[in-house]
Amino acid sequence: MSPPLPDSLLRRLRELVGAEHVITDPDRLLVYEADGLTAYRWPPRGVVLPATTEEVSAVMRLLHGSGIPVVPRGAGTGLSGGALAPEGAVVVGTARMTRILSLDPANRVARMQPGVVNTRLSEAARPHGLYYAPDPSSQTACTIGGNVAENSGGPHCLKYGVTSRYITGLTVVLGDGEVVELGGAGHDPESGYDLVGLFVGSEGCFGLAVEIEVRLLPLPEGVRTLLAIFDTLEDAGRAVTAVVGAGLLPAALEIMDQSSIRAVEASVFAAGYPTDAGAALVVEFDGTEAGLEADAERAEGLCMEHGAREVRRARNAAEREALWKGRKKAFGAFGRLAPDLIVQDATVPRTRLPDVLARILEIGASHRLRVANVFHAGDGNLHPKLLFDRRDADELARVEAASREIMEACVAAGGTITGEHGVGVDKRKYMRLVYGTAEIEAMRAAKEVFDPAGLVNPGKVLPDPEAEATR
Amino acid sequence: MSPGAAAALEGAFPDGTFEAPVEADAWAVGGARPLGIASPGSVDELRQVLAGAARAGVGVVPLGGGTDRGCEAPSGPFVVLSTRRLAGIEDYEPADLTVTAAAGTSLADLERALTERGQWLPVDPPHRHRRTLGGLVATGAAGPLGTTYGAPRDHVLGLTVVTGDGRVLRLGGRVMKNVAGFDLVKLVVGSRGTLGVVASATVRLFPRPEEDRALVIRGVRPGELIPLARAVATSPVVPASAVLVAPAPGRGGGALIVRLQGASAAVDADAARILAGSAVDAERVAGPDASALFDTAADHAAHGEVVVRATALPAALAEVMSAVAEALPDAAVAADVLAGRIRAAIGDAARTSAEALATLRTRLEALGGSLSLERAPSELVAEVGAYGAAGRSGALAASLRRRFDPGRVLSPGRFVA
Repeated sequence: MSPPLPDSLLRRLRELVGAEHVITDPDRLLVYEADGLTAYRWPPRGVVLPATTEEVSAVMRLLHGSGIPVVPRGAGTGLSGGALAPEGAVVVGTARMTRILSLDPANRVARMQPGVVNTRLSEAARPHGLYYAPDPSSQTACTIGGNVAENSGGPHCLKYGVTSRYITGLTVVLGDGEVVELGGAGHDPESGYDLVGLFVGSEGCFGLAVEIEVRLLPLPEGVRTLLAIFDTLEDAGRAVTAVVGAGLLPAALEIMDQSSIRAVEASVFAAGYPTDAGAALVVEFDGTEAGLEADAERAEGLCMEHGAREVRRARNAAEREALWKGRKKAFGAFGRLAPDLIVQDATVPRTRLPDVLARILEIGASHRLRVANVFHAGDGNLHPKLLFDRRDADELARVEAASREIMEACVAAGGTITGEHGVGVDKRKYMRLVYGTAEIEAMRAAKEVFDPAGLVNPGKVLPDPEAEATR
Repeated sequence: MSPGAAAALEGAFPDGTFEAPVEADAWAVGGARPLGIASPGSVDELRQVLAGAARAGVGVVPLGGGTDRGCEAPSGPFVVLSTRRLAGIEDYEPADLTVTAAAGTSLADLERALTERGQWLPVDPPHRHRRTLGGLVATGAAGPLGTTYGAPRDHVLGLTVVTGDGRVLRLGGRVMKNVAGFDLVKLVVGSRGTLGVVASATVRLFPRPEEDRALVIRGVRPGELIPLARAVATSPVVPASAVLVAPAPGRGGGALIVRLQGASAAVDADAARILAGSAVDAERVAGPDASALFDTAADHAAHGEVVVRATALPAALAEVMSAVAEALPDAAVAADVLAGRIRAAIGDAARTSAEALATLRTRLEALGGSLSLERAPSELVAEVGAYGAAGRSGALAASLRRRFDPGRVLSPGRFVA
């Protein structure tokens, strides 16, 4: 347990942001002990909630001067422990930085503070016929600042790409309080290093983004959503290969396996999926209305050719919501099956999905664990879910062992240890599976350029040098 | 260079990789002639070339196709590192929509292999066919397709890079989504050979669209096409690209070329919506004629003694077009109307001046934009600077450069301080 923050420091923090926005009361700190990776609880020494760029800068400068580490935090929905507070750290939260500063339909850009919730941005853009494309499953809670930190994905990345494609400019506050402008719409991206691209996905280790400029897209004229039910996961996988091979570019291609279907159907999120099915595949197309019907028909035909038992088509927005419901709520549906759940995250080349999925089921069985799979089949991004009870120390150890084996299997298949959830605290131990010393030291060098004092979200992403030294 | 000095320099590089150029002008960088050309044939030889150059105290400027080598002269004696012997497709999995190829692979060769499988890499910077994959990565150069499909930065999944001090980094991977560690791939893409030399790259691919057509709207004066261009840029229809060129090839005046892709029915509907309510006549071009037209448009303003790239917010199109026309009279202009990037070229450098270009930069910066010189005589570059102050990313960029190239071997004096 870290010592309490010195009174003199607390007094100055309160002067900077207002007394009610500096939290030290243990009861109120509880919320900040964990993020979406609930297996860990690291109580922060305090929480500061600034409202403006100037306040963030002043708070960072003050803490930096006292040698106190800081942890940027958005909504705390991250799944890799990136917002956990290491020993002695103070959380700088963006909960009060919720203003959309400008929304410019003529240039299709918007600028905002980091605490704006993902869906709120799309809602604000909708009257102009625009929306913000990246849609992580937590989008009704997660913030744009958090999306920038994690380079968030979502089910529609296959066609539209990840967060980094949509961030055109950033104002960031570095550890010592310096405010730096990176990029910006109108700026020539080919006239200097892509520091916006480097900052996006830096998991809060480079600084805190206080203003974020994003590119918006026109709302697609039409959407077609299909749900194909298969007897086996292998058939669903082959149907996906056929759809991609036919030159179709769906906006989303999502698969749920039998365990996931059953979990959803047994929960309040029941979406009417047949529980004896081996897999459910959601295929979505969007774009110009005139072309959609033909695309949907071809996809439907390809699913039937590859063994689909039935294909359902959403005829309107409500039916579309219903088809998606099972997929989007799968995470919540597992809540009733076990007290704890780890959502793993890895990406493999798409053609390796069938053998990797089979291997994951084997790994689960060998450790006597329940494993369910929901994944972005179009881009090879897997989310195996491991169910457990953390009060059972033996089971917890088996979850750890199975997680490592799953990561090893994905890397062996030419994949990587995280596709969209980040490394955070959870996956530092796997970084050596994908990178050698040269790459890790190059990443450390980049971190040192932004944060020479090592006080911004320390102990995240890069492997622990001390633990490595004792290996 | 004296024969003795040339022999000494040759001794610094692996056997058979170095030659003193017969036609040094063909390899000139920013008007400066290299001491020689080093052409490593492997990653290991690439490392040795960098180490040899460091020992000999000469800089190294990596070049692929040489189409986009920048107009800044290196700050001291240098050799060109050619990637021509690092060529070929290493791994192509059509079903994964990814390809890995060595840096010196030409985009033309890559395109041939991808076309056979009904796929493509949707990038269209000027001189596309003569570029290499490594050059595309190093310049990060986007063409008009960039807004809809993404720029090279969005397509590159993984890289093998050799840093200035000879470390071999394998960054990213060959999967579509990857957030393992800090995104050094983004840092290297567009770093113009100042952080490392790209040895190979993995990029994501797309299925070729069923239809790929052009809608060509001609105007007597380019100015009259600007409102239509803006209407396209703010329309709910998403074209693959939209380029305003002036003067129109072979016809004078100007032309707006809108590229529509997708299923046949969708392309028809998109064309109808774009033209709805406007009185203009549009010519529809399809097939090989359309491909040729897109290439002509991409290269339209990329030849001449002076080539500049102006950027601004897309809604400032009219202001930027008129500012460019004042600074570069009678220039060939190609405006990527979706991105707000305008390339302008004049054949005769005497038709402009340092003062005119500096004024143009000031006007663009006032609009939140920028001016970069892609090609210009060295006196003009020395006076105006290739990039505006806003283009240089300051202390962070300089510090990153020191960490990747501590000996300042790579492209010394160019791009980022």
